[in-house]
Amino acid sequence: MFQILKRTFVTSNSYVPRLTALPNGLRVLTHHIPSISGTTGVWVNSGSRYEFEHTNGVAHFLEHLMCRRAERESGGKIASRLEYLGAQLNAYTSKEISAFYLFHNWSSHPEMLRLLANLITKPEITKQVISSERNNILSEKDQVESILDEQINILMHQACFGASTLGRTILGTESTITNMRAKHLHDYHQKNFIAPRMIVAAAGPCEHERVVDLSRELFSNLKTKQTMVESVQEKRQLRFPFKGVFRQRKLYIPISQMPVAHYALLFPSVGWKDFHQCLIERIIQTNFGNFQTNITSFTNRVLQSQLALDYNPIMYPYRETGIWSFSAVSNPKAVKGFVTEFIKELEELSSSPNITNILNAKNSLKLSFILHRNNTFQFCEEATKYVFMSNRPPPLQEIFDQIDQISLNEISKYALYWLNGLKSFCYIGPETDIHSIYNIIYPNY
Amino acid sequence: MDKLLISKLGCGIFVSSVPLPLPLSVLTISLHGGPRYERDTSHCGIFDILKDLILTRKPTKTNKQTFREQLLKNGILASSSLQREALQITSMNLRNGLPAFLDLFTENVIRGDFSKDNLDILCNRKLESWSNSDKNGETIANDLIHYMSYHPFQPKGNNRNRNVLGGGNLGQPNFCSPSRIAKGFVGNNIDALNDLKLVGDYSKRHFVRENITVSAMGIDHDRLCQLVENTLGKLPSLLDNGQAMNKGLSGNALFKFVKGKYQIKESQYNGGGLCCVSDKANDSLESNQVQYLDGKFPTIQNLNHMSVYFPSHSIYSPNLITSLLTKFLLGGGSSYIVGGPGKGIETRFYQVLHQYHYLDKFIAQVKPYSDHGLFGVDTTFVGNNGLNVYKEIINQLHLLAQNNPKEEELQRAKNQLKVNLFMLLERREILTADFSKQLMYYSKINTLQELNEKIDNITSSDVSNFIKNILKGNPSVALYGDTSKIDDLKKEIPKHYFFN
Repeated sequence: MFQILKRTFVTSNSYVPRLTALPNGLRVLTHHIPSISGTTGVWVNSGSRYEFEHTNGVAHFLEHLMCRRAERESGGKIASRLEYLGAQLNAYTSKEISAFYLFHNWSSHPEMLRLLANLITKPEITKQVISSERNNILSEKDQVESILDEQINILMHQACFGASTLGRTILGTESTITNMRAKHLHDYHQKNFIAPRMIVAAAGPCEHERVVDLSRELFSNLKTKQTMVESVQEKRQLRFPFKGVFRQRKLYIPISQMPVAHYALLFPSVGWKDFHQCLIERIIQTNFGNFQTNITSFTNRVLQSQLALDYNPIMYPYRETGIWSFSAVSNPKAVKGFVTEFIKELEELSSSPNITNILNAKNSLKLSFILHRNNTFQFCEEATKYVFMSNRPPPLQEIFDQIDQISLNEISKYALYWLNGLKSFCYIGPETDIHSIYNIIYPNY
Repeated sequence: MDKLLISKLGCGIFVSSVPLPLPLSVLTISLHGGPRYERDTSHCGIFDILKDLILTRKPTKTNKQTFREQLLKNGILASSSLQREALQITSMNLRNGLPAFLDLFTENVIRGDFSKDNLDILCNRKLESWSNSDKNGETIANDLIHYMSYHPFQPKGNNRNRNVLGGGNLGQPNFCSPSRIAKGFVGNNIDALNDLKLVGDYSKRHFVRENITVSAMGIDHDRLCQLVENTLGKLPSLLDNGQAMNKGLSGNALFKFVKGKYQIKESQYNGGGLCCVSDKANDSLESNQVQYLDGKFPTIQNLNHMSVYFPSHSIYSPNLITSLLTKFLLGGGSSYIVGGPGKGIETRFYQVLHQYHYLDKFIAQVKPYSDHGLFGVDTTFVGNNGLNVYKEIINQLHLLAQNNPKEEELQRAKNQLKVNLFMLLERREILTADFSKQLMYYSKINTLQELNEKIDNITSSDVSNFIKNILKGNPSVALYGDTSKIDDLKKEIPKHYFFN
């Protein structure tokens, strides 16, 4: 029996993304995929690290106002139209990116891009909408901060980046949210939502030239450079010009009611500026594995000795810096054993890395690069990241070649640098003999 | 447009593939299995354990590497998922990894002897996740509503006994409860060893050729057929002489044949009434109506979880698409998920969610199976508001039954259903999982165009008639949370029995 049917799919990574820079600096990125649906969005190189201390949270606040406008504008007509078409509007703010995107049936692409352009270039910032949105943001902040993992994430960034903008939260503090004024939002928009820092991205059955033409028409009124003048207070803060410098910190928060310990070892990362080094960090990350998807020899040792209930090596890469974190959850008595096992593994990597394990890690890493391009949104998300980093989305094969070129020697050197260099440690959980743990982590403690 | 190729191999396995030039290949194996195939009450949770254990292996003298380590060496990422009547294993690998995966997996399945060490690690992790998960309430409410709808005994007056589960039906729980893990699987006692053997027996029993369908992307079709024939094709047959294949059975007929071989009875809706379990760890066993849920299930948010369901259509019913469309028309959502345009904020249930301050989740759901199905509403709420929530659900369903939805509302639901399908099927692993499941149920794959046509042909009176029909069944209600004040709810439910 042999039957052939026709069907449409999101298909291949072999289709190459296309990038065009418009005269005003706006970049248009498309990825042709022969599907029925697709993603259209605008990615902006802004985010919480471009905020001042007294306006911490403004990027996230602005994102809320832009999306809420879709619900209010024309008596809710935009929202009704999106609902009717089944198109889904989403947005997020991170430390370095603000993104606004729509998943939709591709036939409505021009209408969707028009809508996004309208929301992003002409935000409605009035006292009325700010005060109505403020409570939503405060309750979102409460919800986020009630999640232990989020609290740990915030603590990790505070420990490593201290008072610099990367050490602050994305949502802001209660005080900055409460005191957010229209001027702060206006200023932030004027400064950061400028053409050279924006990318219009589309993935689906798109024709590059049509998206470029439409973007040229819709985003022509964007500013081409920053024209804002900073206040005296802001100028003073510019002595810390958004630079994230990794610092060595020890953070110990004993909470007797907690049944298990949550802790993280933190190392400096090179960030996106050096992609090659970034790949080395990722190979080391993959070599450690995790309980969910990547059981490695290290994972098996941890499981067999019951050293951790869960652990996860995560990278937080930013433009020129970052954190390589190794967070774990353990019974309090097992923390010391787990940290010892981790340092032992890092020492092994620095002296004689196991070639089989490294090859396995390289394979897993390649697979994860492919799996991060699994739907039209991810195509846009990945490609824009590379365009912000190097003004070019590299083909997968190029990334794979770079991974293959990384030698055992380079991995050893990197592991040694982490062993002997700066590192931070955060601990939240029941009281424990923290000094004995510090003794393992810091040789000269 | 890309070509989808389907073959039925000489060994009886259905195989489909999309031979795209991808840098990776994705493969899903679907299997007739799951809790409804568990033969006895004491076998509760076997498939939940098998789902995870199937991706481990017992080291041998010649091969000390674990199954996971071998997968890793070949750049393979494997995962498994369990539904009530299907077990799915998905592998994603760099292009040259697929033959290795099929080889390793087949060898693992044929041997079927799992390691006690792996079982202990797995069980300890399951116990840990039970003690930390904020999803416990949803999981338990979902199992309770199936139990309530398909429990094996007819209600007898006020003293109905629902404490005993019968095996082989849709009411069997999907998960292995903490108490079941603690009593059976963990430790070195005789029960644990017997249970490990039982998992192996189930593996051997269900990994037979007639039970399996395979779908893949990123591999040449002929090559895939050859690989499957040489690996999974070596698995035993459900019948020694391969009668199933000789009969040329396919689709529903093949499914019925398989179920007959496993002595699975047709599911019968025995619902109507309330089934509740308290979330208070101190409550005695007697206060809970269901015996298998005698463990402790801490919930983080302290919410009540209530599900209200009616008998609906099976996967083979021509009305299945109508039930899916009605789900999108009624819509709903959860307050935790940040809403926004396009996520159903104009649906009827989303409006209800915002009307009552105590509601946290209010969402329409469809649960179709091979011989029956359920349609209903999942809710979470705070306080003693079970009766109010229940009345609102019944009120909303009656409103839709009495008045056809407007054309604009219907068209909106159609668009949302289509776009949601597109969005899901963009993910390669979901696409292969969908294909292999369709092959399992229908022995063919419906195209998106066919599906779109079916959706477009539904009229507003079809939707109202669908709701009218489901309201003819007696409602089943499951409540997990505060069960101290449920007398009013108990009295209210029988008022909506169709024959009253």
